[in-house]
Amino acid sequence: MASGTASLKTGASRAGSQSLWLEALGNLRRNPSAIAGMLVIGLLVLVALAAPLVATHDPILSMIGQPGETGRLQAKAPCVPLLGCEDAVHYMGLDLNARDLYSRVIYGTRTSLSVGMITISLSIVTGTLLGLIAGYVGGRTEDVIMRLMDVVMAFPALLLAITIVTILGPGLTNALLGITITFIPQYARLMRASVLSLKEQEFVTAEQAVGAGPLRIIFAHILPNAVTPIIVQGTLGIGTAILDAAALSFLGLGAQPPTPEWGQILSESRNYVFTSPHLVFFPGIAIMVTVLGFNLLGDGMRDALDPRLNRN
Amino acid sequence: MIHFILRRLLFSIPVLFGILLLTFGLARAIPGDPCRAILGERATDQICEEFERRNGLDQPLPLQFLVYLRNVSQGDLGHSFRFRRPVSELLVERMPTTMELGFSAMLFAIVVGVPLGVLSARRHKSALDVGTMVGANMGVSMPVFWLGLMLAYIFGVIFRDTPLALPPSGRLTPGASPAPWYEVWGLVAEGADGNAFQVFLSRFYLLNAMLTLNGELLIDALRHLILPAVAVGTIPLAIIARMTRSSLLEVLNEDYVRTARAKGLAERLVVMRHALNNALLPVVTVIGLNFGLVISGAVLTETIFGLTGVGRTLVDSITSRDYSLVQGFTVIIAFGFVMLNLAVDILYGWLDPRIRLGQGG
Repeated sequence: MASGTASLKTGASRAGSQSLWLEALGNLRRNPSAIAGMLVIGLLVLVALAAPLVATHDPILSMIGQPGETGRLQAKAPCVPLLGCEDAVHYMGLDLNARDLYSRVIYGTRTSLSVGMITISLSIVTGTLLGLIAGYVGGRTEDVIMRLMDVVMAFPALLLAITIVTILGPGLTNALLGITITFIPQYARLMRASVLSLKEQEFVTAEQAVGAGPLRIIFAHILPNAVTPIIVQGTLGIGTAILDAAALSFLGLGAQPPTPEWGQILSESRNYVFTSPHLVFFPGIAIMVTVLGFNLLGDGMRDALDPRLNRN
Repeated sequence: MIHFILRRLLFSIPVLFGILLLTFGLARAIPGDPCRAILGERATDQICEEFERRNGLDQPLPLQFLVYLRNVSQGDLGHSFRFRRPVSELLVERMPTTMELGFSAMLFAIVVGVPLGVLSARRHKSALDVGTMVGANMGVSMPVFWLGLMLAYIFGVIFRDTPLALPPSGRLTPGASPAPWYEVWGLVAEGADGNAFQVFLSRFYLLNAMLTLNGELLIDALRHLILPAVAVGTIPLAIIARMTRSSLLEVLNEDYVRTARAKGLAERLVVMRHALNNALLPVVTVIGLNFGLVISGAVLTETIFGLTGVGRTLVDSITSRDYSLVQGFTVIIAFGFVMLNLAVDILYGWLDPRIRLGQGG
């Protein structure tokens, strides 16, 4: 009898949560900011997947001696078709090593998108687990976890990432790890706060009464109810993670040459901004558009998924 | 209020201790032995043993940490091997550059961001509102180092030879050497050095120019400060404008605002006298949170604009593995960050009695 009631309840809550998700999806589809964000991200994902088709050249190959290459670094701004000059071969011109900038920017989409997604996924998983444990177990464990999170948050994020990468050594993987660590506390705090309020609610007490174990309560009941703010925060975080990764590469701590990564391209060409500004212009625009896409989607999701805002 | 401040101070002690422990741990985790990193090829086993003994590196780690705590509490942050000078001396010399940049950036962000947010909220859904929000969204999505480079190009190259031209690097025109205020005031003999505090103040060029009533220097320093401050301040500006707008929109729907309108108060007065006070509360928190962004921004922009501040020195020291400098600067920046947030918390408690009373203070 007891188990029958429990399964009835779970079924009802599942149907309820499904309709909530459908409603959220509906809200999302009516939100102009979310639509714009999804369009931008969708396009970027396509570009990343089809990079070999979209790019016109090998992003790492030097074009010395090829058509459009003059054999030396031009003193005045070189011919850039996208900025109004007739040269169909290299849309964004050539970089300092005579590589096709357009192809490098296109391939850079892959690096930046994966860095953003991987960083945030890793920090969400770690932060969520830490927050769940801290919130559910409480006591000394909670104190230790949350004070550690406070200390990590006491450092300006980029500074901490720089220090971590200094220890681990420069490179994209280590930069990714460094950024991940700086992101963990916000998810841990968010999850702990949700758990603290959820574990006092009646449906959890009911589950405990019918003898559900802590793992079942945490993963089947608390987690699904606490996941919305994490998703919203995560989407907004992807943009920041991409910016941080670009910043680390700009400082020479992230992606190493000749990997096509936007921050790294900017780092290579920053000393030539006065003579060849296009080398700096295009990768920067690429970063901005990508981050903008995730920010728009994140804002839209916050409006669509937060019932408190809907009521207003 | 005193209770509230004491409580907040007490709460920050474990965090400060944690910062020291973490930085100490991180510095010890750096691979490679410091003796060989510093002395390079000159390092022999015998010299390294002596080096470790002299620097206390042969002691157990907990003891090393206690010694480190004692040194830090006495203002001794170690010795930079790259500059062959005490880290604290370098801090006194370079911190003002970063602080001047940070405060100007924050001032720019607040002075432009808050009115923009207010205008957007008052003309909700107008072209101005949409334009501001699109601009703000782009502002938060820009890499600060890219914005810095583009500003340097626009104002250094495109606007060269026009009145809009601005110097894209340095803090003063090359060759300019401002007389320190303590010398002008006759506090020390001509050519003599001031004490650490006097030197520290004199490195704030704007302040120094004002103290010595040197208008020319003030304008020169200001002109050099504009581009980096705009670059660092743009992201906080966008965030502040968005926050002010949404917070004011929320407050404008409250009953007491309706009452104010119902009694026939002009809309401008409703906003300025009634709504804005309360709407700015969350903005204060956002301003506090943005100090982290400003510090990160300074690290990136100082390199671009050729400013010898804390950020640039830190990045250079990382590449040359000057560990004690990295450790010292990181600790001080993190400490400053905690203190700034503490100040914002206290300010928030002062502005909003619900906070300080709600916590039982």
